Amino acid sequence: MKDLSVIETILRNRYHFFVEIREGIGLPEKMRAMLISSIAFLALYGAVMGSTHSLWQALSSAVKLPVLFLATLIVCSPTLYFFNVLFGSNQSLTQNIALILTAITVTAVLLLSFAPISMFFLLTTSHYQFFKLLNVAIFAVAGGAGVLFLSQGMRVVSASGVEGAGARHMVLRLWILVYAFVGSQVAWTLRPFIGAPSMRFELFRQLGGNFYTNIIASIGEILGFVVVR
Amino acid sequence: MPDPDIEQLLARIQAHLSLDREIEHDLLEEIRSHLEDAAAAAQAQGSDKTAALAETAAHFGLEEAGAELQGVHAGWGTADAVIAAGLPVLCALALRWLVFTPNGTALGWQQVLVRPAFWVVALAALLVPLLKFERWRYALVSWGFFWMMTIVFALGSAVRW
Repeated sequence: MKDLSVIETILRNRYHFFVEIREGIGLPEKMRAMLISSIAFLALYGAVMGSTHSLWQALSSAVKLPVLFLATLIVCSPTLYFFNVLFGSNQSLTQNIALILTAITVTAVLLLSFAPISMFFLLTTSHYQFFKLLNVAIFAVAGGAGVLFLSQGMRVVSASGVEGAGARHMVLRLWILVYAFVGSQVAWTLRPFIGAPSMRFELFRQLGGNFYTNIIASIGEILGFVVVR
Repeated sequence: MPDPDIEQLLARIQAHLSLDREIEHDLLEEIRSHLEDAAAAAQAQGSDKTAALAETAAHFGLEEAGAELQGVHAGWGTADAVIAAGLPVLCALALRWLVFTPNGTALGWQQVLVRPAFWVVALAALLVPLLKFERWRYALVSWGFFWMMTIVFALGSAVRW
């Protein structure tokens, strides 16, 4: 229950939560709770995504979705830390990671809230491209809300070091773009999460292509312009 | 007519709470009844009501009580929402992959009832929420959802996932 109370604090009393991160109060406990909640919620959503294909795909996606977010966190957090330090921030790496984990937790909670909707469409439609684009839209909304939280949190946490605040804000904006770009590439590398119905189960597909051309092709198929093989 | 002294004490406790409106209201109502009893008892003994309330508040430790209540009840509102979103999904996935046929149909559903996996999932749907969260409400919702999904799949043999 304590793990869930962190989520309640983030959602209801975020300013207080960010102030505690700024002061370094209970960081290990907070990070542990956020990590546990995020992994559980992302695993459940991953299982829903993979359930269109097979049991193995469901299990594999349940593992891969938390890995996707954690890998992106590991890859991107040093960049944010060093650029913040460069522009006068006095935050520690742990505080930076706690803030990014807050964004991931918010994303994970929102994905959980979308899970029944995703399940509903899973039961009522068999169109693979539609289900894939639906999930891309859900991830865009949940991820967008997550980085919005990160932006708010960064503003509160870095309030103690006013010097270079404007530059740090710009760094954060650029970092969010990098985070989204890295995240989509990690997702592409770890694919499949849903699993094309015409293909057998594979833990990972061969490298090649990219996330964006695949999404454009899916939109093209839904609109009737092309057929994706 | 609310007593302004009691309202003031309740406001001090409320300042430490950041819970669901419903839970917060229930807690404050319970504390209000304790404070009213204390005030009534003091008045019956001929003591000053305000002094009695102040004594009760000091004995109670309002700030500490508020923080303690926040610690005990924090997370239940989120737990309700998480259960509402996650449990039906989890039950549906368990039914799909543990109970029904590999191709996702309910054909030959009568055989489902003699499968141990079916009863394991049924029991888990009832007991896991009950033991984990100690709330019958969760267990009954989960149990109800489990049987609803089972009946939907069993009656609609054309249903396929």
